Amino acid sequence: MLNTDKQLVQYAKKLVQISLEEGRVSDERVNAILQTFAANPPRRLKTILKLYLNYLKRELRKSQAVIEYAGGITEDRIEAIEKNLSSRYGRPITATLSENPELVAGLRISVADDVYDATVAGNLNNLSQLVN
Amino acid sequence: MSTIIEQIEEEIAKLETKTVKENTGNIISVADGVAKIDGLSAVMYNEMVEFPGNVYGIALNLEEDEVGTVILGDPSHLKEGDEVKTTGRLLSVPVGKALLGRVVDATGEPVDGKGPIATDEIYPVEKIAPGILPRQSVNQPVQTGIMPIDVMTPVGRGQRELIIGDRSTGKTTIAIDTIINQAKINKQGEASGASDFRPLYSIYVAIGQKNANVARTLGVLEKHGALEYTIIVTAPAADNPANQYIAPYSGCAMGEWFLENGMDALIVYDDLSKHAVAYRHISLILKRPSGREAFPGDVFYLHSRLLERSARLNEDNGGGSLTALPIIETQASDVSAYIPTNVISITDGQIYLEPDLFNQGIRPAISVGLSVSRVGSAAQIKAIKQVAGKVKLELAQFGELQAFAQFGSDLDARTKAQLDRGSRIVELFKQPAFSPIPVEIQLGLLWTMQNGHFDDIEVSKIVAASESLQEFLSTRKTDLMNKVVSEKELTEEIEDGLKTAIEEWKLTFS
Repeated sequence: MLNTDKQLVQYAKKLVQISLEEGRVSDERVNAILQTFAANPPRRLKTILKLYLNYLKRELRKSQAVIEYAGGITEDRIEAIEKNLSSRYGRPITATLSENPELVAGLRISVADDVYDATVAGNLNNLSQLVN
Repeated sequence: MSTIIEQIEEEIAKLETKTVKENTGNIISVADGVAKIDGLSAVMYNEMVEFPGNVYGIALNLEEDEVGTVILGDPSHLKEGDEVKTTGRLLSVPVGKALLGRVVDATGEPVDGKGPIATDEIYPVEKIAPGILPRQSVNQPVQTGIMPIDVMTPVGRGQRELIIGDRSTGKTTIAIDTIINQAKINKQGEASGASDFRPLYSIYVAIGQKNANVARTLGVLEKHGALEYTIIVTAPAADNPANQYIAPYSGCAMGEWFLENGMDALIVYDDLSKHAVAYRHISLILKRPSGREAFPGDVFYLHSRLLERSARLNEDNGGGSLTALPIIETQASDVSAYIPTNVISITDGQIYLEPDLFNQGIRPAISVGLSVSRVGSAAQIKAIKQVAGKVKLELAQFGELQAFAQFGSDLDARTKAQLDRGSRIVELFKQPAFSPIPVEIQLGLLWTMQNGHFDDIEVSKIVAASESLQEFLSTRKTDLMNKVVSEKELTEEIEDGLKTAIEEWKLTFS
């Protein structure tokens, strides 16, 4: 059944859909899928798992905000950002913190493909492009 | 300097508050000027995307899981995983008169070492062609300065006339001659100070050519004083296919500026065969389905949307025009190949150059039978119409009779006269490269031929006679020639003047 790459992609995408519970990736469901594969491995399991991992990562990125900061950030501010992003994207979004001194000052928030840049480094970069 | 400082100060003031939203993705693969990108979920079709290192690309394939982009510029430093950003802009190029006399690349960046281009205006590279209502029919000529073209296949302002032929048959020469002639006419017109004079600016787009050829063209234009009225857009063979694909559209955007601002422009696409090949290259790497000769299905639309942007606008829309001279290179004279037939069907006529004629020394090697201008005499001044009427027919009959005459030596007087006249017209139409003939001189030569004044001159001496008469008319009969230009019609007075002039010239020509 799973002969062509196209069919494998469709299969992996369906697995991701099964892994969601109320719009978020469920650990339990992912474990259940992995156990099923361990018991009854399908053809080309490695390829399927790789594709599944890719699509799952993409799905996880949709409900995760990576906040890069320089200089420090308060708990209240993180909560406010989470609340704001959750209402903007219409799904619960949780924040992950990452300190990045190269930003000089400010915040850089990534949600899936969107990047919100309010850093001094970003502004300086835009300024240098403008001057050039 | 002060404006730059003000800009920096403004930007510093914004630093506290400004948040920039960007849509990003990551490179999955880069191959032959095409990058596949994961992400970019908000990218639009044909949108410019930004790669690291100030390299830009255009989103051409929006697929379920990835975006296919063509890279404009040097992709050598790009690698898998690099971040790519959307810009929210369509690819645009600088436009305006500041580009005249300059050589730019497909993105409008100067490559002639003459410094930056002083213009604020930009036009999108891809634009929908003018619709039906703002157009009017072609009614003003583009004088190419090449006699057989101006007489038999005239080109009008706003027309698309294809120049087609094998390699090394003089296709580019025809285009360059036309550009040189426009520069000559522009200079004369500007010197005359006539209020109704409309200069015709030229844009030469070199696609997939050798840099040496572009340099030679540039040298010729410079030598003949035509560069100051010309923009050269170059995407040489060494450029990546994306630049070669975009170059004609960039040139067209520059031409559209003249069109939309009530001016006249001529654009030469040299050549669209190489353009189609560059597009095929991109399409195959983007894994678009291939069709005949491995070209993608939309290769017709590739050229039709480009050539439809040439137009003559009506007076309510400024009355500007953009004339296109696309060039197609055929293989072994096969005009029925895929790309030649496509472009023949799109354009308003074609000038077909025959290798056999070229090798016989008939240059320009224009095939009378296969060349046509669908606009026809609407793009000729009245004086030329009056003398050119039967030339095409006479030449066509000559071609037929010549083939027939090879089988026997006994010919009746009428056939012999037709053959004599035909061979003299063929000789008269011979013209060296980069020497366009002004329309009034063309009229003088044709009138002389049509009235039998060349009949007593040997066929082998017609070229010399023509050169001598050209010189005579342009140096010693300037008043008469000026009258032809101003009246644009063959009046009795002008005919009498021509008769006297020819008799006078004959005494000097031995």
